[in-house]
Amino acid sequence: MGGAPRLLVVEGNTRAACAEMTRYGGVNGADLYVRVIEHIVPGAITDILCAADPDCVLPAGAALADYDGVVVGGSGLRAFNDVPEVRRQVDFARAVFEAKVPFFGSCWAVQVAAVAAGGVVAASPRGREIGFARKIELTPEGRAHPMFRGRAGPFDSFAIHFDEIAALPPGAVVLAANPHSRVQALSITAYGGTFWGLQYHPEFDLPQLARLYERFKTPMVEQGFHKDEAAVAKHAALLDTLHQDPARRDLAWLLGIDDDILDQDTRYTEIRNWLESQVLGRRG
Amino acid sequence: MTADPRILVIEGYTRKARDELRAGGASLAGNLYAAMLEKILPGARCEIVYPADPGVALPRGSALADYDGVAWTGCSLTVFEDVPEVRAQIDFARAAFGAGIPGFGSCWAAQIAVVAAGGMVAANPRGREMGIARKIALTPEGRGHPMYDGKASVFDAFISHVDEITHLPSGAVCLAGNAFTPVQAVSVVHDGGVFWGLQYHPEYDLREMARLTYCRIDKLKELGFFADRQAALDYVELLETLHKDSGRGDIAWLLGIDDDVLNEDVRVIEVRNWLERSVLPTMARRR
Repeated sequence: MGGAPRLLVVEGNTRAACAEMTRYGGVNGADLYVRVIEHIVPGAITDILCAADPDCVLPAGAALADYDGVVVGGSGLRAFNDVPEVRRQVDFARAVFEAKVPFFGSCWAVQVAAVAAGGVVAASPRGREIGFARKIELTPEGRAHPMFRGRAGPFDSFAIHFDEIAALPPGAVVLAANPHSRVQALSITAYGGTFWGLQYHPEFDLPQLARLYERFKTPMVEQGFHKDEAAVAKHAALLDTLHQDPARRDLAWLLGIDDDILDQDTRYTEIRNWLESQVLGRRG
Repeated sequence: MTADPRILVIEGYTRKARDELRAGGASLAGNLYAAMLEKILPGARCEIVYPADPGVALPRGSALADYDGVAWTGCSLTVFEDVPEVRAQIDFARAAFGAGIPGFGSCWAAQIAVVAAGGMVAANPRGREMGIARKIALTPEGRGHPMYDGKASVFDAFISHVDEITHLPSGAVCLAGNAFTPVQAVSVVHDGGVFWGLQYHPEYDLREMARLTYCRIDKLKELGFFADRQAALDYVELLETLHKDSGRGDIAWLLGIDDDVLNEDVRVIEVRNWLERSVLPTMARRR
C-alpha cells in the first residue's frame, strides 16, 4: 500500500458547541488533531467527520475501512446521557472497532469508546480536573505499552473533564493514572478492533487552555478555580505571555509546569507513537 | 518500652545565616525540626546544637551514645567546601554512624551523610531547585522502604537547594528522584549506622516557604524565578494567604499544589516512619 496515510478525524461537539468555541477564539477538537497529525506526518490526508450532528456522513465514496486511522477529539457531551448526539457517536465508535481501523483519541474519545465497548462513564467524585493533569503515572502495563515509548517518569499534561470511566469494559487495560483520575490512559480491544486513549489532552497548547478558561469563566469561578472573573483574565494573560515568550521560565515555575507541557515533541509522545506504530507501521 | 527518645537536632546554619532568617520572619531550622519531631512523637525530647558556631563542640563517646536519634536540618553551608564548620560536621556524622545511632535529615543532611560515608556532592547543573520539587517518584527500592510506608509513589515536596548528590557511597541506596534531582532521597548504611536522608524539606510549610522566599528575594530574582521584586512579593503573599485560609483552593490550583505539600500528615510521613521504624526499634534494642 502506498501514498499518504488517510485519517478520519472526528469532531465530538455539535456544530453549535463548535461555534461557541470559535467565538472565544479557541480551536475545535478535530481541528486541533488535524494540526498535530499534519505536524507529525507531513502530507497525511485528513477528513473531518462531525459525528454528533444528524447529517454527518463520510465523504462521498469513502468507507471506514478506507482509512488508516480514526482519531476522536474532545467534546463537552456526557457519555451517559441518552441523547441522539451521544448515541450517534457510541454507534460510530462501535463501527470503528468493528472495521478494525486503528482508533485513537482523548478525553471524550476515551469515554465514548469505553461506553461502546460495554464500560460505564460517570461524573468524577473528585469534581472537575481542569488545566494541568499533574503527576500522571504509568501503570506496569503502561510502562510496557508502545504508546508510552519514550516516557520514563511521571508527567503532566493538559486536561479538562468532569467525567471518568467508572467501570472498565471487558478488554480494557489501564495504562496511566493520577491522584484525580484512576484512568488517565487505557487501551480497549473490542469487536476485533483496538483503541488507545488518553483522558488528558496532548493536542492542546497554552493559548487553547487560556481560551477555555475565558469561555468557562463563570462556572470556573463558581467551582472555585478562580477567585473572580478578573483572576480568569489575569490567568489567561499569563498563559498567553508564556506561550509567546517561552523564555519566561518564571511563569512556568509559578504554575509548576515544565517541558511535559511546554515542549511540543514531549507533549505529542503518545500521538506520535500511535501514528508511527499503528498507522504507519500497519501500512508497512 | 518507653517511647520518649532523646533526639539531638543538629542545626548547621551559621549565626549570621540564622540572623538573616530571623530578620525575614522565618523560623530557625532547628526549632522547626524539633517542633515537628515533638508533634509527631509527643514524648520525644529534642536538644538543638549549633555546630557552625565557634566553640560549640558536638558530643562524642558516651555523651553521643545517650541519644536515640540524630536529626539534621538543612543549612546554607556547602558540603564540598573544606572549611572547619563543614569538616566538624562530617566528622560528627561519621561518629554518629559508628555509634549506631539512627540518623535523619533534609537537604544538607542527606548530602553530609553521603559525604561522610564516602560519596560525592556537587553543584546541580540544572541550577537551583526552589519552592516545590515536582513529581518526585519513588525508585523500586523506595517503594519497598519503610521510610515510604504510606506515601504515594509520586509526590511533590518543599525544596530549596543548589547542590545535589552525584555519587552514592557503597551501602547507600537511592529511594526517590525527580527530573531536576536524580537523588531526592537516600538510605545510607555505613559503619554500623543507618541514615535516611531527604533532599526536600518535610519540615517546611507554606508560611516557612513564603518567609524563606522573602529572605532570598534578590538572589531569586537574579536567578530568574521572578521578573521583578513585585512578582516576588506577590508570590510570598499568595503562599501566606493560602497558609492562613486553606479554603483558597484557587491559589492551590494556580500553583499546582495539593495535599502532598498542604497536608501536614502527608508531608511528614517520612519523618513519622523514621521515628517509628528506626528510632524506637533501635532504642528498644540498645537499652
